[in-house]
Amino acid sequence: MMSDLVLKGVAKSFGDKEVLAPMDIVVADGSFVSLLGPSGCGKTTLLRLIAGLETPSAGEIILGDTVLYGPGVNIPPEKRHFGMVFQSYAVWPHMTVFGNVEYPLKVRGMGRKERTERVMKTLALMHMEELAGRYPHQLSGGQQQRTALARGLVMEPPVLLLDEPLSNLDARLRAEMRREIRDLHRALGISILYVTHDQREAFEMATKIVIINEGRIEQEGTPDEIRRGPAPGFVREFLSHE
Amino acid sequence: MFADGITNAAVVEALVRSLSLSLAVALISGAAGCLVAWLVTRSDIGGGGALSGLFSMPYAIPAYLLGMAWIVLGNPAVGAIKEIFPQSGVYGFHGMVLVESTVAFAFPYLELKAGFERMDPSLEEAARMSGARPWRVFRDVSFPLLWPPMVNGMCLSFLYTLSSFGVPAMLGMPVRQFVLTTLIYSQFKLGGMSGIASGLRLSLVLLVLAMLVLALSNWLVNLQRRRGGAIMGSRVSRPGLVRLGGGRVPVTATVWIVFAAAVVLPWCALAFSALAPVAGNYSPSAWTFRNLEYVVNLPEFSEALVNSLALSISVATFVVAAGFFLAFAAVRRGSRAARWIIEAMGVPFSTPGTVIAILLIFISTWVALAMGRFGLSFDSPLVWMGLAYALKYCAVGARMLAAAYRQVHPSLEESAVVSGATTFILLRTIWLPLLSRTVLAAWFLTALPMFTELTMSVLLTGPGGATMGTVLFQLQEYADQPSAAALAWILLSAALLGAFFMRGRKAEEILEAK
Repeated sequence: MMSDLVLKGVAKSFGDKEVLAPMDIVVADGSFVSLLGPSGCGKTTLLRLIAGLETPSAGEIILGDTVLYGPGVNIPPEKRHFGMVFQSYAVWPHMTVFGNVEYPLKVRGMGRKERTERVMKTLALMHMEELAGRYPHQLSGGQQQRTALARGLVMEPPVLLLDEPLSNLDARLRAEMRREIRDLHRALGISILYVTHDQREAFEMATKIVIINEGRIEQEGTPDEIRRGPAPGFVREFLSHE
Repeated sequence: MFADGITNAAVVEALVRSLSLSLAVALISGAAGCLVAWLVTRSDIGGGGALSGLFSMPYAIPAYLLGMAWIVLGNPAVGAIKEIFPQSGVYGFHGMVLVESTVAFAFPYLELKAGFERMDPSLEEAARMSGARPWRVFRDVSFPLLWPPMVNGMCLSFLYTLSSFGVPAMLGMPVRQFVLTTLIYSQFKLGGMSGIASGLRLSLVLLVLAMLVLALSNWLVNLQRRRGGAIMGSRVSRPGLVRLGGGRVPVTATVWIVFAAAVVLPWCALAFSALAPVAGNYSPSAWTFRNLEYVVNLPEFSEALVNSLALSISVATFVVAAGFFLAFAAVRRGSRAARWIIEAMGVPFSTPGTVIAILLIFISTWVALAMGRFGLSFDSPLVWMGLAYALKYCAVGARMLAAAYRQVHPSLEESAVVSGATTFILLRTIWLPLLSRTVLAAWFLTALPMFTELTMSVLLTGPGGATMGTVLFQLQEYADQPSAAALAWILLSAALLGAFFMRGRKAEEILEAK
C-alpha cells in the first residue's frame, strides 16, 4: 500500500501573525525527510500540524488515500496513527519502560500476549530489553530517548514524526543515535519526518531535506543536490555555519 | 467536658456538621475546579482567556457578601427565586454548601491550573499520539501526575470551609444549624468567663482539625515538589489544545451560564436589593438611593469607615514593610532567624480566625486583670483587632516578597554593592523600585481582606470598635435587607478594586501568597 504523506498549501497563522506561509511538501513512502532550519522558523509548528496537535489555517494534509485535514475534515491526533518522539522525550515518569512502550498497544485494545511480544521485539531493536522493568528516573538521557523511540515505533506507524529528538543528548551520544536512527529507517522501511536545526543530523540521515526559514521553504532536495547547489542567500549563509 | 451551658450533643452535632459541610464543599469545588482548570488550560473552549482571568478572581472578595446576595435570591419570604429552593429557602445546609462551594472553587481550580501550566505538555501529547482519546489521556497521564495538587486544592477548600464563619452565620444560624465556628461565636455571646472558656475548648477542637488538614496539604505540596523534575518541561511550549468539536458550543455555553448563575446573578440581585425601596419590590421604576443614603448617615457607618480604613491601612503598611525587610534578610542574606519567622507566620495564617480571636480575647481579659491591679485600664478593641489582623495576614506579604526576591538575579544586587551601596541604600535604591509592583500587590492583598474582615472583628468588637464587617453583620441580623445590601455594595466595590490589582497575575503567584 502506498502511503505518501502529502501537504497541499498548508499554512498557519496565530491571530494576525503568519507563522507558516502556504507550503507543499511530499514525504514519499519509505523516505526520510528532514525539516531543517534555525529555531523559531516554524518547522516544529509544521510537524505539530501534521500530527494534529495544532490546526492549520488553510490547506490539506493527506496520508495515502485518507484526508487527515481538509475542508470539513480534521481527524484528531489519536486517530492519525503517527508515531511521535518529542524533544523532551515525554517518557511517563509513573510507568516503567515496558509500560511506556506498551501503552499505544494497550490503548488500541491488543491482547496481553501479543502486546508483550511486540514490546519486547521493539525493545530488542533498541537494545533495551534488560531495562524493561526500570522507571524513567533510573535511566540515562540516552536510554530515555530510546524508550521514547520504542514507544513511537511499537505500533509500526506509517510515518514516524521526530521533533529535535537528539538536542538534549551529549555529542558522543548524538553521533551514536544518528547512526542508529538511520539503521532503523533502513531496517523498518517506514517513512520518517525529522525536525532539526542541526545540519549534520539532516545531511547524515535524510534522503530529502527541506530547508525552512521564517515560515517559508527556502530550498528542498536530496542532501547531495543541496550540498552541490545551495540556493543563494539564506541557504548558503545557513550552511556556512557549522 | 463542655458542661457549662452547652451539651455534648450540641458539640457533636456542630462537629459533624462542620466536617460534612467541609467535605461536601471539598468534593464539589474539587470536581468543578478540576473540570474548569482542564477546560481552560487544555481545550479550545470559547473565551478561555477571559474565563481563566475571571475564575482567578482573588479570594479577596469575602464569602459573606455572596451569602447575603443569595439571601436576596432565596429568602423563603421575599426571595426573588425562592421557588427553586426547599421550604427553608437558601437557609440551611444546602445553602451553605452552595455558597461555600462557589467561593472555595478557586482553591482546587488555581492549584490544578498551576499544575497544568507547569507540566510539560508533551507528556499528554505523547499519549494522544499513542492513540488515547482526551478522557483516556486524563485518566492515564494527567491524573497520575497531577493528583497531589488536585487533592491539595480540595484540602484547602476543606480548610477554608472549616474555618469560615460569615456564611454559616448568615445561612445556618437563622435556622439554628450550628457549625464549630458559629457555635463558638454563640457561646461567646452568652458572655462571662464560662462563655470564653467553652469557646476556648471548642477552638482547640477546631484548631486540631485545621492543623491535621494542613499537615496533609503540606505533605502533598512536598510530594509534588519532589516529583517536579520529571514532570516539568525543560522548555515551556504551548500545549496542543483538545478540540471539543461539536461539543464546543454547548460546553462553552454551560460554563458561562454556570458562572453567570453562581456569580453574576447574586451580585445583580444584591444591586437590585440595594436600590429597592422595600425587600421584594425590585421594579426599576421604584429604584431609589435612599438605602445608600440611610446607611451612609448611620452613626455606626462613619465610625466603622474610619476604623476599618485606619486599621487596614496602618496594619497592611506595617505588615508589608516588615515582610519587605524580613524577606530580604531571609532570601538575600540567608538569615536563619528571618527564614524561621516567615515560616512561623504560616501558623496564624492557617489558624481559623475564630480561634485567633478567642485566644486574643482570653489574653486581653488576662491583661486587663493584670493592669487593673495597678489601677490602669486598657480596653481598646481596635488594638486587639489590629493585632489579630497582623497575625492573620502577615504571611501574605512576607511570602509574596520572598518569592519576588528569589526571582531577581543576584548580579543586580552585586553590581550595586560593588558600587559602594550600604544595605539601607541598597534596599531603597535597588530593591524597592525593582519590587514595587509586588509590594503594591501585597499591600492590596492584605489591606482589602482587613477592610472587609468579619470573622475576628465580630468577636473582638466592643464599644467604639465597629468595623465595616460588624456593621454589615448587624444590619443583616436586624433583617434590614436593603440597607445591608447597600453597604455590601460598598464593600464589594472595594473588593473589586483588589481584583483589578490582581489582574494578570499568574495562578502560581496567587498561590504563593496563600
